[in-house]
Amino acid sequence: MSITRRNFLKGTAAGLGCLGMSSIAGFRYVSKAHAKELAEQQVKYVASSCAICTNKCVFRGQVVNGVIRRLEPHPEFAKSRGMMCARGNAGAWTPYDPNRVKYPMIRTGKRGEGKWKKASWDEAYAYIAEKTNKVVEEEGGHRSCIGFASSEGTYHEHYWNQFREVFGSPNSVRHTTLCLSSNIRGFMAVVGTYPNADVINSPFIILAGANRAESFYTPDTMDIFSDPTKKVICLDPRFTKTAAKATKWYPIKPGTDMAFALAMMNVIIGEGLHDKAYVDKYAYGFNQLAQHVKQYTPEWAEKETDIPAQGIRDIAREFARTPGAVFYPGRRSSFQGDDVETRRAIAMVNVIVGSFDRKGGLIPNVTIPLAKYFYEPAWYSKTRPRLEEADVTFLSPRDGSWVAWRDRAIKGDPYAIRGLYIYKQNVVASVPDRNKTMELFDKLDIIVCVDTFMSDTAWYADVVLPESNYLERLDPPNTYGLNCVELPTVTIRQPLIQPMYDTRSGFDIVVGLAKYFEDDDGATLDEYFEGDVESHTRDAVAEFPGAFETLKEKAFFSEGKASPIGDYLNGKKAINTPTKKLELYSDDFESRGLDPMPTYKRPADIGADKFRFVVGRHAIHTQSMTANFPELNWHMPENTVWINSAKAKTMGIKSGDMVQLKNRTGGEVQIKAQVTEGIRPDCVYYANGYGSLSKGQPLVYGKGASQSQILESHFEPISGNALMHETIVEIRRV
Amino acid sequence: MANVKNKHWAMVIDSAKCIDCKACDVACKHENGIEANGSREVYRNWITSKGVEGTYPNLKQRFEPSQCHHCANTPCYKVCPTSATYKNEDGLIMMDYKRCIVCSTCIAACPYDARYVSKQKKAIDKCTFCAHRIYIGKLPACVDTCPTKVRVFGDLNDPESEVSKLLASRHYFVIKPEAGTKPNLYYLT
Repeated sequence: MSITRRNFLKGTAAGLGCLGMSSIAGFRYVSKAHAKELAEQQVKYVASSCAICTNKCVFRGQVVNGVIRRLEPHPEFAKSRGMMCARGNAGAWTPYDPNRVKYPMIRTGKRGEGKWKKASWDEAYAYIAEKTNKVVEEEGGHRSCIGFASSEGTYHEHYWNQFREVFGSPNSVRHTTLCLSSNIRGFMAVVGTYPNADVINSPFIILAGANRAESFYTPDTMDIFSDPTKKVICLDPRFTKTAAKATKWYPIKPGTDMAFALAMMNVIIGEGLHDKAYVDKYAYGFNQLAQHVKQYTPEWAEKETDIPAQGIRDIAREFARTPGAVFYPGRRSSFQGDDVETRRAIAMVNVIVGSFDRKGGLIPNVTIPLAKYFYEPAWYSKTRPRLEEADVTFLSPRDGSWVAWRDRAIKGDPYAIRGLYIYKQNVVASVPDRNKTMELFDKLDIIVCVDTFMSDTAWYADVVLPESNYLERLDPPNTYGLNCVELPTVTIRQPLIQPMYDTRSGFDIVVGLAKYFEDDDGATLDEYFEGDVESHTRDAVAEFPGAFETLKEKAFFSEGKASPIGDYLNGKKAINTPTKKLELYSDDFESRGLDPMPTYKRPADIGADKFRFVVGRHAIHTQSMTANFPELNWHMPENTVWINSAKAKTMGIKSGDMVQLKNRTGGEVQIKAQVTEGIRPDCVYYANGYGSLSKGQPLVYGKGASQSQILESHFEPISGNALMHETIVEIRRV
Repeated sequence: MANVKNKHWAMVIDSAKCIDCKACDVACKHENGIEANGSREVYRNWITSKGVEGTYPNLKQRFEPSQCHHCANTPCYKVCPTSATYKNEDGLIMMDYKRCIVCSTCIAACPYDARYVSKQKKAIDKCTFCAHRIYIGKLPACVDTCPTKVRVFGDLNDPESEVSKLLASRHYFVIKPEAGTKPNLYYLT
């Protein structure tokens, strides 16, 4: 236990008597040393948008004498409701992080040994090109042998993707299949889009696994919790801060959310509480669904979920009778094997009460249409299909499926992967089963990592190319297909300060690298890139008079028009499903050999004295990215594994004891225990971002345990999403 | 400095909205240039919680944000031997760092634990309600940055201010009323 201010207080009080107050004048010299603080200050404000998570909240950056002092929330930016979270505020530190990557670096020691030489950009590019061209030649000239990974939230990612396309590799893996791809697929199948919930207008919200009090999503986090009159039902194996704020928390058995949703439909349809006119008009397959859910009674669901039947019945009735009630879609949905079907079931609960495209319910997104960033495609005769093409029913060509792809890449099936180019995705810390990622790395001849800091992934790369910090660079416009249902908005980033070191923007990095490669016709790849970020920004909003100037001034632009709700119901827009209806029965799924309606399959028994490892967010961290920020780390210097009190007692484990966790596939970690009432007896949890391998993150290097080290790697084959709740561990005291 | 003579600054806190996200802490530190350097003593505002209360699965957890109460009857002010702690006309309790001798008497006198030793300033330091912001018409950083707007700040002498309206229409309490400090931090129930 660290010293608290309270402890300090006791000490001072005891010491009071010996402090004399006889000669006040004698103390004057102490103050003189601080008079110089009154020097005149030059203050300027630059509006820009945050890059510490995916929300991209707009702020007004205060720069004093050329140093960033504060990132203040922009009061007019509707999406974040004029707030900056802890992480957003802490971002002001990042340009001044002494451990930043300050220049291109080429590895000189073994991978992960931390021995580097400083390189010029041209040296680094030449090194990458030489290694890459050699392995491409060895593979018979097909560039598919180079994989590309990248992460969302960076406005430059599409340039990276463009580079991959003109370079000639189909092997792109993005963060999406570690996050929400099953969610997108499930909701797409039912309502034809991945909608947002109109929580500001919803009086009754069911959150299943969506930890909005700790996993910020703007404006939902603000809208749900700034109004304590809203009724919030929280289903989570863990007593999260969302659970603490909820009207009612149910510690649901992991992997049984579908049973809960099916039983809700059993009650709503069985008691005739569904919106009959809505379902008649807009839904497809209602009668089949009504028949199908008869088997899923609340009494049956109680046995599956551990939620009392009466509780399920009450929630279902109140949900159906409350106008604007919504079963929240959530974001991350990488839970268990049936996740796409679970998300379909949740979407269907919303549909049968008529919540889609209605106030308080599920609202399809509207965006301001930007002019498309166009580039010529490159054609290669030898390009092969992506590795895991046959492993996933609905595979997004840009997202891929991380776990499936890595399994194939390790085996070289159907062809070898020889290099990996990574743009700001910390794959070592984020893809489940770090041992497997290392196994893949061992097979690679060239690993290139673009990042701003020494992530675990950068630490294991051969070449690290430093991108300028988000407070030092211009980022092209981003149009929200997301949450601004009231006010569609475009945002940019722009520099508050000039780059402090020899770093470049994402665009400049790929254009520089492109010069070192040629297409089949012998043209260098940089010929595919035109203009610069500023000209792309102008072009993107050229259709809207004054938009560019507004972006420069405010960092966001909106037409000031709320997007109308109900266009899919009044026929102005067509529902984007095969039947043009809200599909409660999917012929498309059936034709692919999948269940046409969500059909419950009980999760496998984990066995006595074993635990299911569950993952989840903490409000002070964006996964592994922020763990080393001093002001955030201050609140949690080390992660600890949550173990249920009663269970821990039987095992003789106390808070602070060092324990070992061991999964079924050779992953093991040691971490301190945190005994708590706030988790199911059959689950354990610890926060992400700790146990870093990189000495460039000194506050978390070797501190606590890494999540990717304990997670087993599994994926579901409909959307390709990784499954973060399919890890079963044994625990023993060390 | 704007005319502050007729002001009575107060903060009204609705703990029910607090999600314990620490935005107020980090915003405060940047706004006021506080370098904690890892010290667990150095902060001007904080969120208290007794942790998870109850027995699984019947649990609750409450969060209570706090900071200097800018008391009308001011213990820290009374005990300061050098007048380093002073009162503004608008009731704000401020520090003249030049006068502070770090005797820590005020730390002992404060019933709210709101003061700390600042190595940066070589003085005792505390929340100022972001006086430098409010005098130019901005809200204190902790109020401004909060995702759920737990804190409401304003002038109790203005009956139309949100703080006045909240205290007129809602039940509230103050912390440690028995200390007789007449604090200007109010908590809604």
